[in-house]
Amino acid sequence: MFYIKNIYKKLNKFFKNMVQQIKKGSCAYILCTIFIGFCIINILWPSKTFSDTENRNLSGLPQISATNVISGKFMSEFDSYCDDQLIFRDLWVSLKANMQLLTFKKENNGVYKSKDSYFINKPQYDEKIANKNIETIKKVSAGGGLKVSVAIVPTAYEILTEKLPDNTEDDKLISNLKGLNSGFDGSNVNVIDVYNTLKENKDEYIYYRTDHHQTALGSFLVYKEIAQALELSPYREKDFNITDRADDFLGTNYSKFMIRTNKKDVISQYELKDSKLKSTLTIPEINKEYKSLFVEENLKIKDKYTYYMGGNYSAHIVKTNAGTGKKLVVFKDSYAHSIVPFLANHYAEIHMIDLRYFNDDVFEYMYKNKLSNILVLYNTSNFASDGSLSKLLKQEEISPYGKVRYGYVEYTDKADDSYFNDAVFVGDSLTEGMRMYSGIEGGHFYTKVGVSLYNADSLTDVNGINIFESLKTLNAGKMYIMLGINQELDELNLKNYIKMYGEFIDKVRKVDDDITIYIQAIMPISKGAEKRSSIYAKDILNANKALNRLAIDKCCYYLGVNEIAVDESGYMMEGISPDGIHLSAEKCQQWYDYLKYHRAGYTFNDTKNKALETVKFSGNSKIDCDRIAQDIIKELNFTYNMNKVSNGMIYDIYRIETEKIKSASIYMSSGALADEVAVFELDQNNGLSSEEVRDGISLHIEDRIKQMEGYNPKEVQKLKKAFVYSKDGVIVLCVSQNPETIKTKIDKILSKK
Amino acid sequence: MAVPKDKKNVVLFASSLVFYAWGEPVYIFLMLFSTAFNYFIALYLDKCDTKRLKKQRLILGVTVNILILFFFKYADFFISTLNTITGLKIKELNLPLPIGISFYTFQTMSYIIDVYRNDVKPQKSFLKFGTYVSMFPQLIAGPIVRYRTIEKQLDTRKITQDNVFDGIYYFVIGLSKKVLIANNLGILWDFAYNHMESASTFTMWLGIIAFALQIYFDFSGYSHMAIGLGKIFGFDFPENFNFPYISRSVTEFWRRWHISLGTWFKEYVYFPLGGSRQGKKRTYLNLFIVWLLTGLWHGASFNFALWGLYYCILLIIEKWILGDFLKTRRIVSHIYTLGAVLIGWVLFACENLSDAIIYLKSLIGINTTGLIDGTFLYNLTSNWVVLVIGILCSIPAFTKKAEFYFKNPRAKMVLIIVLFIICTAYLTDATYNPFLYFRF
Repeated sequence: MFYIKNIYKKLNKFFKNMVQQIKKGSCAYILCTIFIGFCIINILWPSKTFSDTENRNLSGLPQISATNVISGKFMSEFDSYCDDQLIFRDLWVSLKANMQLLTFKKENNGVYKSKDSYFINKPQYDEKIANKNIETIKKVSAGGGLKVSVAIVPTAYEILTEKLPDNTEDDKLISNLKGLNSGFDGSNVNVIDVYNTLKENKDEYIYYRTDHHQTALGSFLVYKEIAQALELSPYREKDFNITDRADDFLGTNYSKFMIRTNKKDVISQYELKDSKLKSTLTIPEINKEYKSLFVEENLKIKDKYTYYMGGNYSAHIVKTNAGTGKKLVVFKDSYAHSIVPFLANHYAEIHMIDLRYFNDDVFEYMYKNKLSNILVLYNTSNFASDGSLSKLLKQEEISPYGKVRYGYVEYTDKADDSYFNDAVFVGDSLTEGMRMYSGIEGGHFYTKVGVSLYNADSLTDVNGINIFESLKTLNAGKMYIMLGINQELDELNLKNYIKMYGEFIDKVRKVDDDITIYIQAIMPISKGAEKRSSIYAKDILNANKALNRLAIDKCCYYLGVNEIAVDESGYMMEGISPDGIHLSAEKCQQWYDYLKYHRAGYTFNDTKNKALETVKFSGNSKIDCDRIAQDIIKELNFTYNMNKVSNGMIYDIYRIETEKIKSASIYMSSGALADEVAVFELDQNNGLSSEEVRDGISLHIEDRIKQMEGYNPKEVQKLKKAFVYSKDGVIVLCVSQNPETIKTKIDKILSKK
Repeated sequence: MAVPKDKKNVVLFASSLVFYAWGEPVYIFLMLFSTAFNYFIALYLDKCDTKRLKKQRLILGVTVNILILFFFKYADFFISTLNTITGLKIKELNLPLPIGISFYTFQTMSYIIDVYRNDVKPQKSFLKFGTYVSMFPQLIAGPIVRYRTIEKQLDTRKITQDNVFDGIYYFVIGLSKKVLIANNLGILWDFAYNHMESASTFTMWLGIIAFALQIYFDFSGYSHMAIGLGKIFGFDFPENFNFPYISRSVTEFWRRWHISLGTWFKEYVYFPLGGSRQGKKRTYLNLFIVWLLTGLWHGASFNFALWGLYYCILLIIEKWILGDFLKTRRIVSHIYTLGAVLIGWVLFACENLSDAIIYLKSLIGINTTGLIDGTFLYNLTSNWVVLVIGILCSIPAFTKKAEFYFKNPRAKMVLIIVLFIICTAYLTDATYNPFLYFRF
């Protein structure tokens, strides 16, 4: 008691003395009071958890613990806490920006204060990453059977060069980015060059002044080029009602520079006039469905660009009532968000995949959703600096669906007769002939003499049950279609024929989604038959070409079975048909053989699908990594489902060779979240050391931080406090909101048998 | 002020330990070990009867200190060099460098050598000795304060209002040098270094000038912060820099640059080796040893060794012929010195030898995009304010004038507050805040 009194007295004396000194004008006392006062106010000021201007979570007070202190983590977290929670943080940041301008610096945090109130950021270019991305796309496209188009959209830095501060133009950078497209030369990738159209309109409002994205007008220009290249007929500007939805948007470049501007940006919306088109937007990651591609509520938040498509997520699914049956998958960054709403006017379904966050098997996703038209849509800077596109390269190799290519089927091993037990045949008299003379025993036939696509819907099975009704219960594996000889196929009617063919396939899929569909080429006719009927041999050849393309579009397979009957000039070979249309018994047997030798998903000399091969570990695994990972997941209560990542991805993600560890199990969040649980079992004999594995993990974490920073910055904190633990040859990585909870339990989980 | 006299060292020692642990939670034990070891060896030295025994114990002390420094700082360099020479594949240790190890090892070595020479009495109080070694203001980036300079201050020191005010002034000036000048020019240097093969000759010159100013303001800024904090706690640390860029010879430059390091090497290496009193050949050999060590002290790589030897050669030439010539020619001597120092900085700043050669070539226009280009103009227009301030602050005539204007404590106080606010703004939005002395 006495002691406390004593301290109180002393303190009292000290303060009295201080006040006196300050009154006297002692500079030392005044300064000390200011500094200490500043610190105290800072401590007492309530903490903020989120910064609107910077669009990120601010760090909170870290928890103190022995391990935290020893590793230095507590200190670095405390530092960032102090940094983030400094009072009037925005004021300090803008003071710095003003100082920069005052000293004639036009650049702050990588953003140039440009003419006409523009804030323009410098794009990034990493030659290695750019080349790897190009190679990836080329390789995916080179396999055939998928239609790959690429549109790399220039950023404001490359188009609005005249607005940049004098002499800041980096010519080498600009020409490097401009040269990205030429990387695709000589490949079958459909390259869509949008540079010129943007450059021609550089004086229009095509980029936001305060944000790094394109305005609705800029996006419209890009859309026009893309639509043309994809053989859609693009709408014109006057076809749209254009409305401004917000005029006070301050974007990310503004936040980076942090200096007042009087020109805020306008968010506008293009809607087709008098259109009955309705679109829905599904974002699986957050389990949300919107009735429009424009998210009204996001006009109220800081990042108003999220008005388009709701913001960054691993996947967006757009469904429309366009009724075209067309589907598109877009591998993209956020530039696509304002472009896809335009494209939605032409497609029944558009799936947007952001490979930076999408951790599932992309090829499986495409297979299951029947997607074969790919559009790669990035801005130049991301395309040349973000490596996540190259995920496709590895996935193509290891995914069971990576080798699935639609269209033409190659020569394979021969099938047994039983292979056709679950086969369905749709056709006219030609197919009936094949059934009778080829010796086929199995199969279900929906055939009728004289049938064409006009009345194919009414085909029935032997019992008179309608084809679609009967398919529902049949559980068929494959369908062979040959239709066309009984209808007009000239130039005028070809388009309609293909459209009806596509609709027929859609109807089949509606009742049986899993069925593998083979489109068979139409058999040729003889010169004599040509004279007698309304059909021409050359029209058949054209129709077959169109059918091959349709097969890719509709994720079906094309069988060039007409090979057995056609001669060089496109007519039917001599002496194989009594009437120049229907085939002889011998040819029908050849037809059947052709089907046996051409099977999708098989290769020659290899009856098993090669893609199913699994990854090799060094062996002798003693620990059940998967069990550990699942136990950890149970403890951590993740917001979204954790998906198991294929082991083949381990090298791609962590640069850890699977042959040098005993086993592993990786789970990642299905969405744009950083959540991740990974367990590795080390091979202590001659495998990687604990340090080497940890190095791989920390490199991966650094990569993820880089990826997340611009797009879901809230997740960066999680990555920064990633929990890595190693014990008895097991290394565990946990990225989650609350890794603390696992720290106390990890030993128990590991020791559990 | 508020702390009783007898508790001052306790407070300082404890806060130093917390400060060090903040950056190096594990290596603090290494520092404590080094402190304890030197504390005991000094006491032990003092009790020796014979000279021989004393010498043996000194050798033990110095060897242990050097071994610690070698193990943590040079082992990997040594291993990798050995590997390249012999083709062996010894695994590198990959130990992180303990912060401040070069500084505190040199301080403790100076202490035991001084005790051996009977220049100072050994410190009986572990607290006081610990306070000296771990003293946080100068622990990280110097100056290397010899024990004898602050021996008395450890026992008795007065904290006066004037000292505190001066201390704050020094500290804020040092902070501003680091944050406002050094960090900003660092960006310019990084730009030049990263665009080495696609820039104009002028840009490259701008880059190396920026680096020269960056390292000066960075290092002297830290020293000033240390001196300022020292003053607040009642210590008087010696100045570490004395306007090096106005030197008229390289010899003079090194009398003005990192004075405490130069003094240390002179006192504890050069003179014991015999200095310049044992004939020309021996003098040159001594210079060679001192400068090789000086180079390596700055970092464990061939670049720094070469940088040291580069200065060794220049000093020998000056001693030999150039000295008198420079004395009589004012302008030539300035140009020569600045040129020589800038070339030195190229060796120092480039990460490896081949980069340094490319950079040097580009300074004389080999493989550049021309003499002058837009990039140079942009960099000049956006940095000239900082460059001019940096250059002016390197000239004593200017700083004296400026100090004259701010003689009034009220004016000084306003300056301190303004600078502190600007520094806080820059530190808050810091995307670039390198710490150049991690290697030392």
